[in-house]
Amino acid sequence: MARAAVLGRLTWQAARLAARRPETATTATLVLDVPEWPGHRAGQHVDVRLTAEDGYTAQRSYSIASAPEAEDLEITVERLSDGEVSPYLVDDFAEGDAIELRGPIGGYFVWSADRTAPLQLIAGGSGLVPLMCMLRHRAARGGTAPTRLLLSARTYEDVLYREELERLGAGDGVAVDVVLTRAAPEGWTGRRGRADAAFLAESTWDAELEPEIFICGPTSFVEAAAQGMVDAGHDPLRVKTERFGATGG
Amino acid sequence: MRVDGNAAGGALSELFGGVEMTTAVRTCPGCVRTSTLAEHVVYTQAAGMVLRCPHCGDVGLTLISGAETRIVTLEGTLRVPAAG
Amino acid sequence: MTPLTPHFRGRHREQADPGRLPPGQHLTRDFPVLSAGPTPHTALDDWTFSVIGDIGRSAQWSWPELQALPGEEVVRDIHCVTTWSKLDTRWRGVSVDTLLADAEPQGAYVMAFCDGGYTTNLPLADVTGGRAWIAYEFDGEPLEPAHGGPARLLVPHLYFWKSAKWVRGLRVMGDDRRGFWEERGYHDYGDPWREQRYWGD
Repeated sequence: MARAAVLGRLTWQAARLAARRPETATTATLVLDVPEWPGHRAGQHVDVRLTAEDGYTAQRSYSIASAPEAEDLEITVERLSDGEVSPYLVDDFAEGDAIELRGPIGGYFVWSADRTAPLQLIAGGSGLVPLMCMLRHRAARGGTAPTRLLLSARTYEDVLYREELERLGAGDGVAVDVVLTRAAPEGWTGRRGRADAAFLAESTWDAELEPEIFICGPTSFVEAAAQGMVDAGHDPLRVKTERFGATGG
Repeated sequence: MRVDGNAAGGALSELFGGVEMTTAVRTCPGCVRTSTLAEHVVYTQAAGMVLRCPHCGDVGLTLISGAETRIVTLEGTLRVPAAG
Repeated sequence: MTPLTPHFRGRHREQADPGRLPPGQHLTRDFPVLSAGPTPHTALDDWTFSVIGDIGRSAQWSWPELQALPGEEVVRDIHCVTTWSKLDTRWRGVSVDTLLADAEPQGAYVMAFCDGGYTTNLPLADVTGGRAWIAYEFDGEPLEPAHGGPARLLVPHLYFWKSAKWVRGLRVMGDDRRGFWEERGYHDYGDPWREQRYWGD
């Protein structure tokens, strides 16, 4: 049974690492133990804060990967080569260690499984995380909104949650389209190259179906995809975006 | 993972006593249009956050955060959701 | 008290001669990009730098004209109000003294104005006497747009928000008026050694 997401006061609290699960060569899912966790909605994020011995602090935001219905709170973090926080979280953060966490945050980029309008999800790289949360939530609640996910990734090995996506895509009312922008494995019959306007038109819901659209990923990807959807006739008010900036890592 | 855009949510809610602020609606005095704070374009984080109107680009809200300091400016009006 | 995160060091930090770091600052090897708005892109053909306002003679330079003025190499520590400091940063630019040489300023203050609308105010005394430059190179390379290129104001003895990116001119003023961040909570003057970050500091 899903825990209710209480609209309470946001405060910092301690979160311990319960387990780490590698996803790809550069990403890992962190399973967090947060005693006072009030529950969340699909698409929300948390802020984490780290404090070094000399008082230096660094703060970052991460989308929640686990469905609201899941037992444990999970985030998926990508190690950025020039990052300050992500290498620590992906490589050094040890089981039992604590970080400070604040959340859930966000009332705009959220989706509930009781909605029935067609759902269009568009992800660039690790922008898949909050959208995967939405897919997991849909599966957990038996949601019926006809759903399409368009995922852009560099290589097949970079696709997050591959097996789970294959299962979801083979299931009820969910279609997954992947476009690889750098290198494809032998025998790949899927799309290659950038998710350009033509590909968008082929792989997303038609504007006349009036889907709810969620786009997440690096800023340039999101802005291009959002513009592409608006150009294809979708109501800009139904296009919700979440951009990664150039700050932090 | 996210490092921009809605990342303003935590800092904004802290300013307003923990209330979720990303759905607060601002009316821009420059272009007279409304947008949620989540839809605003965010520049920088940590000390010196700037939210610009997504329609006209004018500065809508700024937030300076130091170790023990919070300074905010707001252009136009902000309709804040009631705490549940 | 904020709990510590075991093993977390923050990649940026390294030891520094304590005498070189103002209070509350941390050292970085990076050059973080902090902006209040989108990066402007003015074509060099359209670019000018002006000195105007409360002065005897206003003046304007095109990009080639600015480049033709005597330039200097400048190596200084810089200190950002967001607590990062970077030591021995290397720039090339024209001294503001050179640009004001014939201007006969009448006022005691200047407002730097920039593409994108950013402004910042300073006492005239703080941009003269060899303390300020219009910088167009960083680390031997043309200044990138994200870091304020083609040219930015460089005033290293004050917090770095005073080193206005995408600068297009200086307006001399008789009375002090606040610029973008000074109106929004940052200190009017901004001396890192007295930790003048915010209003009332």
